[in-house]
Amino acid sequence: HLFSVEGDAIKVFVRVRPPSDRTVLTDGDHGLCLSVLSSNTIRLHSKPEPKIFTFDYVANMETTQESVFSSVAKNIVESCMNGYNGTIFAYGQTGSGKTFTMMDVGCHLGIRNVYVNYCVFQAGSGKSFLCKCSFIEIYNEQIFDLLDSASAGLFLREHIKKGVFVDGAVEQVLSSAAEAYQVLTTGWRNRRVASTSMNRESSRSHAVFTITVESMEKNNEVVNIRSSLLNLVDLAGSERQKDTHTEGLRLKEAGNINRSLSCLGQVITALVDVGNGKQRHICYRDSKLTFLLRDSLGGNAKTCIIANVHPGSKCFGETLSTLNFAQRAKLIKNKVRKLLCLY
Amino acid sequence: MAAGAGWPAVCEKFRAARTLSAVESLKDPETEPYRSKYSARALLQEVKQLLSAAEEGGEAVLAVRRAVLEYELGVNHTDTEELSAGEEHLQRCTQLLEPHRLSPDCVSLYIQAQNNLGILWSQRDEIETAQTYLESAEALYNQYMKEDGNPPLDPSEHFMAEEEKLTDQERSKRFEKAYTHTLYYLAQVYQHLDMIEKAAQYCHTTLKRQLEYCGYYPVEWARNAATLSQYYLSKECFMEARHCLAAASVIFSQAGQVPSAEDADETEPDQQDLPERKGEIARCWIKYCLNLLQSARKLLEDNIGELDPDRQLELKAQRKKEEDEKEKGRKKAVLFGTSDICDSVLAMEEKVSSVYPLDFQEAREVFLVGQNYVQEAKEFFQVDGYVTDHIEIVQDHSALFKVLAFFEEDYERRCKMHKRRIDMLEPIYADLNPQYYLLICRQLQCELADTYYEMMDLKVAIGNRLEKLDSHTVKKINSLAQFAIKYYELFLDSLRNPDKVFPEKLEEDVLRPAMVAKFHIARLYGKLITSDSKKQLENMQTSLEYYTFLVDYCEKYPDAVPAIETELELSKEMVNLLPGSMERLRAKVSSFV
Repeated sequence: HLFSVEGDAIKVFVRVRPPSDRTVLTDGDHGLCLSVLSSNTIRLHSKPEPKIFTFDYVANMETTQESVFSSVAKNIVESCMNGYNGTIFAYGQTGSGKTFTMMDVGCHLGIRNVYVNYCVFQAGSGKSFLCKCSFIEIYNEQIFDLLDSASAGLFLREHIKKGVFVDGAVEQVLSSAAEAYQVLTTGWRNRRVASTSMNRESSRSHAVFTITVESMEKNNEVVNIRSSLLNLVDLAGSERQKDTHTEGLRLKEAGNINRSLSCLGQVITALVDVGNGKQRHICYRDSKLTFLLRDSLGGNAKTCIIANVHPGSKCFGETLSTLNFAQRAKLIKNKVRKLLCLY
Repeated sequence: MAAGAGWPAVCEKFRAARTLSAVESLKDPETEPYRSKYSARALLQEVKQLLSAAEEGGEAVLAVRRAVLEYELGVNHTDTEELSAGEEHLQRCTQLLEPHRLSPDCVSLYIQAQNNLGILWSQRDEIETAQTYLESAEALYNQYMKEDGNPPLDPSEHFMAEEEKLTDQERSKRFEKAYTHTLYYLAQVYQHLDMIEKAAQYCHTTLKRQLEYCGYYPVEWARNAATLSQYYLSKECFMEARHCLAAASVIFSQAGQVPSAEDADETEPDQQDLPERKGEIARCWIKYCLNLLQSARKLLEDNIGELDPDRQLELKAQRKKEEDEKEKGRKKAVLFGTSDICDSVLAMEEKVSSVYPLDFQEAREVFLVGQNYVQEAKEFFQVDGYVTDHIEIVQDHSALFKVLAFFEEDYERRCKMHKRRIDMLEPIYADLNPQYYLLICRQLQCELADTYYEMMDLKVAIGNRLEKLDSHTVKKINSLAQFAIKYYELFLDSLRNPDKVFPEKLEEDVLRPAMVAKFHIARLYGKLITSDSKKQLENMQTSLEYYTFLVDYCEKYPDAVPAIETELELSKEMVNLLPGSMERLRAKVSSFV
């Protein structure tokens, strides 16, 4: 018996940001490439036929942060307190409102909610809780700790009880929601500092903010420890991924360095994947992001993707590809590994 | 020629353009990514203006020089994302060269122009067009090597002073490299076109040429060859798979050696990963041994999965007849390396067979090789830090024992092999946190259950040979059955939701395992031995419940039927038979009272 990674279907949400130029709003739909039809459908004004997309939830330009939170993230955040792992991804092109959504809805409200629940649980009987967080950035397949700007090049490891972790990443113990938010903003600032000092753009890196909630329960001398993770992931701008992944049939060229025909390995890997049903070992690992998240995503984990789009007609192409991606994600049953490869 | 711009000045400009394009452009700021490329382009245009037939050599030489410039301009335009302009220049280059394309002056340039046209068309998503350019480059190389074969001029030499010209050795090196690139691009083309076999063949040839022309990093090369072996495994080409692995191991051992002076500036990129790469190659070897054994098993088993002695004799006779013949022909085509390397590779190959093992002795030899690689792989992939990898290796180890047991005729010894599997899997399962490793936990639950089940079956078979079942055997059978039931139930429990409710409808990927678990539990309750009739009735009742689950489920969800056809048929039979047997037993019990 060989099972694939399975679990609940991924919930997919779409959020439309207001255009930066408010004036276009005054003349109706003019200048916009889409309209929100209902709380789960969206119409893209494509030619010759408009295209209708259906998602689990669509937030229009007027939707507040609070209501995005309660329809999208609340469920995941709450089940985290019940021992589920949860992951919220923000996806979309640079400027589509990913960071706005993620920082506020995912993190700020998320943390606050964790804390509201935390206090409720804490007050209840028998259990004691510990809340910790870490904040890392994956850029160019390297891991940086945003809570320790001096560190560089951290490694991923696995623990038989605790799953995948970033070896050496700072874990900050939290005592209040305000403190958590403080940690987050510090990390965010580090991300900006790094992006100027090392010429790495934030739109090219993934940021992963992780809250770990550990509960300890004493049951007749037996101590029961449970921990669950809430991962808040700000993915790199989708337009950047296009350069590298969705380029279709392009050939990879031989490297500048004399000997390196560096993608030969990937070509071979692609050949091996076809031979299914047979036992084989592939020498090329998943990407860091996939590896970090794979165990918290498989099985008893809850996942959602918030696809952010900019409604301006200039962004038509990107918006279409974001909506297409989100549509595909909806069809995939939490095979997140596959999904991220696709991404 | 214009005043003041003699030939040396032209050459100097050309050289400057190449430096700008290849070296300076790497340092361009992100805001002006093509700055140096544009400067190079301007220089190349100047050189083009300065060229005239007045120089020595006449029309033919001029045409080739123009072609070189068109080539450089073509590459420059495609580098700066101006594909149409790039295409025009490259086309002009090939037109100029067309009449002389087989001459040593032009052949290399022509091939490189075709390579670049191939890349260009792939950027336009027209892979078939790319294919025609690359295949014609390939054909030209072959024709040239057949008809002439002398080291041809490198394109850069057309703008060099006589005293700077390259040695034959260097010329040949560069020419062969251009052709290696053709093959490397073709490998990608065929992969994109789903011509998998051809793609594999071109990957293989690319690897082979990297070795021949010393253009490789040992670790990277070894990793690629080891990966290619896994492709051959999926095609059951064990000879080729073994050759790739042997070569991977041999080349890997070169890693970290002091590079020759010429290459001193090019150290291998990932030296610090050596132990990990070594572990990975070992894991490819494990899969090799495992697949060879499993394929042999498939050939040898009868319809109930036991070793078929007639088939065994037949295959042994057949093997004697065809021995080597076919293999030798195939082998020539894929052999890696030149004399020295080749000898080491062949020596490495001798350590394990590439033909199907047909009896226990042969199977054991393959098994032992696999087991050695298990130890080697575990040296790096330790459970602390590499949980998933480590467990996968242990699972392979268990699978090696499982397939070896097939070849073992003695039931007691076979049972011991399965016990070894239990001993390696059970402790890992006990430690593993299902919250993070649910998938692996389920795999282990099922595998442990199946192993206990198999051991129980073996003990029953052993017991059947005895005149009377002794109490020790009975106890053993019952305890094995209980363990099997325990792990099947653990697996089924893992499917429950947090409120402990079993799903109404099973997900596609767990459907078959869950149904088989139910079916096996039903059978296991049927096998439990007891002298207590009341207990026996209870067991039969439980058994009936599990069989009924299968039948009812398939009635409710008919699309589940194809996944478990055989089990369903047997379950239906049992659902019909069991109540009768239970009735008879009840009658017997009450008649005693």
